[in-house]
Amino acid sequence: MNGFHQSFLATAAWFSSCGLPGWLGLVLAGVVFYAVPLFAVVLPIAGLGQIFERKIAAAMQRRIGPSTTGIVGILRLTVNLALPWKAKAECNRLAERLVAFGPVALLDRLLTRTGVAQLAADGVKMIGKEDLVPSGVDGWLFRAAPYLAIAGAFLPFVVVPWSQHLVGADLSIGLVWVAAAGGLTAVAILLAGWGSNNKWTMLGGMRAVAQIVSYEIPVGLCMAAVAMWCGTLSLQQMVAAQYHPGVLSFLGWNLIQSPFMVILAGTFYLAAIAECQRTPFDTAEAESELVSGFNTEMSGLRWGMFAMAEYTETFLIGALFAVLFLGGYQSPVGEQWILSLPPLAETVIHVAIMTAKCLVAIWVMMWIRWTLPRFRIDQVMRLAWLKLVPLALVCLFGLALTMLLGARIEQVAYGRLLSAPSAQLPLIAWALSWLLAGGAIIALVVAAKRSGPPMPAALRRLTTAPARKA
Amino acid sequence: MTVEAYTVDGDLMTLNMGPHHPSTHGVLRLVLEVDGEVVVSCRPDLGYLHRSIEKIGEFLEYPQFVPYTDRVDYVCAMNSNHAYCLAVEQLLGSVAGSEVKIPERAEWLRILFAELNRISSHLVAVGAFAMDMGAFTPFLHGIGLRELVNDIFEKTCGARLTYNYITIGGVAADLHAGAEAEILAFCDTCEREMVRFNRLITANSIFKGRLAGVAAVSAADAVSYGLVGPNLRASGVDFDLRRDEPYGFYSRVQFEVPVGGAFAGARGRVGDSYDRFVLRCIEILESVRIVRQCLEQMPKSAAKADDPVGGWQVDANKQLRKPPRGEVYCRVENPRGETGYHVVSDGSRKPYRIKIRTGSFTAMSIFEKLVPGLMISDVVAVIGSFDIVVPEIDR
Amino acid sequence: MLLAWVRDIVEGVESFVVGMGSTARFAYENWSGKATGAMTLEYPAQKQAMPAAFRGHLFNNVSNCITCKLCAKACPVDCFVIEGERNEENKFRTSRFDIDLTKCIYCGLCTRACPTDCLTMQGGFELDPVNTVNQRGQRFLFTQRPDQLDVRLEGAEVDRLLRVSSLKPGEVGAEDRAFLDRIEDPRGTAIIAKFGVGYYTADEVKQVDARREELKKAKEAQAAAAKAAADKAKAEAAAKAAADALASAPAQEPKP
Ligand code: SF4
Ligand code: SF4
Repeated sequence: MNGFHQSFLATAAWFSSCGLPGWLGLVLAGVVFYAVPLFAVVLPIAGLGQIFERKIAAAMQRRIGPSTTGIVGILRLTVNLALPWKAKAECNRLAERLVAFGPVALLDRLLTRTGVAQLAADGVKMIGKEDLVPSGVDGWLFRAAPYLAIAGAFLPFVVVPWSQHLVGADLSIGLVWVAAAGGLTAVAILLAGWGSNNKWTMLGGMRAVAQIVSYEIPVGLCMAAVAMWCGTLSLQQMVAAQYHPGVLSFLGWNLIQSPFMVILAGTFYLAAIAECQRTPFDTAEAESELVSGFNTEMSGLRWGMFAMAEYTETFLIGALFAVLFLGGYQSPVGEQWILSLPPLAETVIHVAIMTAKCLVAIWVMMWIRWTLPRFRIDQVMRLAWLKLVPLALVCLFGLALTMLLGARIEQVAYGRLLSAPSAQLPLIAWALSWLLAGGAIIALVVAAKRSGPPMPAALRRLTTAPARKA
Repeated sequence: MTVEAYTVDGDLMTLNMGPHHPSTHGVLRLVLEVDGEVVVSCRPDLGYLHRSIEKIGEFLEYPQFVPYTDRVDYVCAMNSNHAYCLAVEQLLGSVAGSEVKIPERAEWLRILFAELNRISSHLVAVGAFAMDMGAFTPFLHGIGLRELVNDIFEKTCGARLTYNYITIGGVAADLHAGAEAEILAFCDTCEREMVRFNRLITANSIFKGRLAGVAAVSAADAVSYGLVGPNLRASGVDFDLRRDEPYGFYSRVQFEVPVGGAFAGARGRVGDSYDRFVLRCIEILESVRIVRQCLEQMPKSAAKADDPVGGWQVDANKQLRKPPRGEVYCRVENPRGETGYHVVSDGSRKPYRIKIRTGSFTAMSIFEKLVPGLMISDVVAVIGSFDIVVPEIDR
Repeated sequence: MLLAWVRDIVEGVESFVVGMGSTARFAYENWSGKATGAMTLEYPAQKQAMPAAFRGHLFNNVSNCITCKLCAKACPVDCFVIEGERNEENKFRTSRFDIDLTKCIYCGLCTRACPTDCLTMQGGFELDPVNTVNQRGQRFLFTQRPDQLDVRLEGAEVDRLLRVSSLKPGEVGAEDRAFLDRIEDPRGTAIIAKFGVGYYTADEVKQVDARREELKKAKEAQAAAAKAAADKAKAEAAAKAAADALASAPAQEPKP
């Protein structure tokens, strides 16, 4: 086992030697070594995600987004608390003087313009709100729902590898765990929808469950295809299977192994977005239809938990997408070199790379959210069953064929089968699969486009730039 | 897509959509009976925004009512001003020899501003509709463009929403200095930005899919339910008061009147929600054309002779002219369709009765027929596609 | 069938790419400050310059006002309370000109009606007294109840008034301002002028006050004179009555 795990075991042993029962020592060590870093990485990012999203939305909408909250308020509070014997006005003046001081002013400006300080303000506001439980709600369900949502969002992270050494538990059935633990969210939303005793929330809850359950299938199929390709269900080994020696280590990534993988990646991404209820699939929240959907009655911290769960889930999707298609925590170039570093340095670099990949995936998700309108619930279902499931199936078979082809070529070229069919295709097989499958797909697309009716003249007029007058 | 051959089984749930609901564009209440997601019946309940504007009119002198017409439909106040002022002018001129003489420049300014207001109103309509469909970005781009129109209005008439600009006998003020260039620049910006807007939302296949075939109104239905304006034309009825019954100087400008034609492609039907949306987008471009023509044909100088400020129609004693006994119905083409002012005069300074006919009110009446069989999300689409403005319904 | 299925997907992907492209361009232009840059105005910090024609708060240049009340007649919502008085030269002038800005709908009909153009609409639009520029013509009395006028002050309130009126304009707190707004008494005009809440300059107010004082004194003198005269008459009458009584006294003596 690696050093990280050894120190984990050592700490557990130390706890036991202090007189704690062995299982408690293990739990405590687990908290210290795995849970704390996980929360330390995921929570701030999930929080920052909201600010990030507001800024991105603002940029696309001719606005500037959060721009006013700085650190003056925090400083005032701190000074007031630190110098309780001084008058309030004096403390405030002191704080303002502090803010005028160069570096502090710079920091203030940075936090203000990026909107990061807004996060603190929002958090304080959310925590400070009255814990409102409307009369007539089903108290237990209403109260339990936010916790379940948070649990459903965080549990899958147990198996997500952040580096060779940093992984909560490298389960051999990692992907199955992700799918199973993630399913808790559906329960949480249903409980919130039903327990709130409100017609809108109930509609939202029903929609969410129907949708999540349906989209489990394309997501599952995509996962199955990748698992088949890599020959493992463990996320850590999946990353390892995408290792490519040499400078151009991205050549090993699943995404570019076959055209089917590209389609599969798109399918997975869409289906995953649908599973975490974001636009264009946010039918459960649908603020213009269902007021606020399943969390209409939630306020303050309860609502905050749902929001946090949502952003954590986007983060999870980013992480999964990276693991399944983008080589996990591996660097696109020179992975070999990073692996030869000492464990700590390697871990830090890998965590950074993984986070960056997640952020890109999240960013695209936000970009989509502020671009597309919402599907109707029946269209959401139709998309899942009529488009995504068949697509995923086609890709699954396509990949299987490619693997067989690769094995066949290997057999012909070397006169024997080197190994079981696997992700690392020989070059000829790789090129052939791109040529054949890619050609077929392109031909199909072109034929489909030809067969369609032309664009109505009115629409063409609307979407083409007016002729410039001389 | 409507749910066809749908049979209700089990209990129905009554769902109050509104009066406070994000998509009812004001305080409108729709009492829906739903079976799951499918709406079985829809009963609009009005009156939450009733301000007795018609009754107030009976207590005010003729010119004092103009600011109230701003508030009948605050999204297109200019057009409402125009309708009312035209009605009173007709009333004043109903005795031979006492016709109200409106300066030529004022006539041009009237339709110039009416068209600019039509653009801004349609921008709100299409933007808000996109927002109802869950796309927030197009809404803010629509609103952003509308701000430019408002800036022009603000500089000329002093207000951004309730303009009170068109007066009985003229307009309140001449264009501000440099207005022509500003308006032309706006026309260019508008055309350019609308292309991007349309690429972003109108051509989007999710958006099309949401609206294609939803709540299609046949031409016969549209006529018999009294739909007007873009809602009527979307159903294929080629009728536009600006062209067919020109008032003001509309006879002197050229423009096309678009009609619906199943723009959504294979799944679309004539008169569906998508047609209504696209029609508004096209009308924006046509209005830009009219604005350009107005600027070209308008008398250039603001010399005393064509000072547009006709202002108060006063007699020799500096008293407001009293209209003769009689009544008049005057209708104009608002962004939301035909808006009519029926003004009854008993010969005094104050109208005996004012009755306002608005497009949103009649559009409202067809909901009861259209909505059953649609899904809850489609109800939102229906409200948005008819471009309902609730104060106009309730008055 | 298959082609239609593929076409659906292809069209979806196409319009998705087009849409993503346009939002990306919006974001790029926003960040680089190009054509569709942010339109946001960070309001209390940045203020828009109001165009000259802007229909904001009403301002009456009282010295030109002829108290014709045409503005009040034109107003559709009855915002005006206008009173006139004759000044020392027996010329008519406005003694009170209140516009209830909580009723005003900023329609501008009154300014169009005003024959002397003394009533105009200004650029101001903020009603918050704290933020209002302490400047003449920027604020108005909010006359909401008739009983606000001629408030009788209790002893404690008089003390407070004295204290507040000795403060500098910048030092008057929101509470004190609210207190001042509530009061209108002979001193009120002076205070209002001082704190920029009325229509008169301090000089004008002084003149008016002096004139009032004079009038009051004259009235008092007159009254005193009249009283003296009356007293005298009364005294005389009394004396006469007494004399008469004296004269008739013998007659009134009880008869035997
Ligand atoms: S602006 Fe209009 S409402 Fe306000 S005082 Fe003048 S006439 Fe009355
Ligand atoms: S109309 Fe003008 S002059 Fe007449 S009372 Fe009003 S403000 Fe004074």
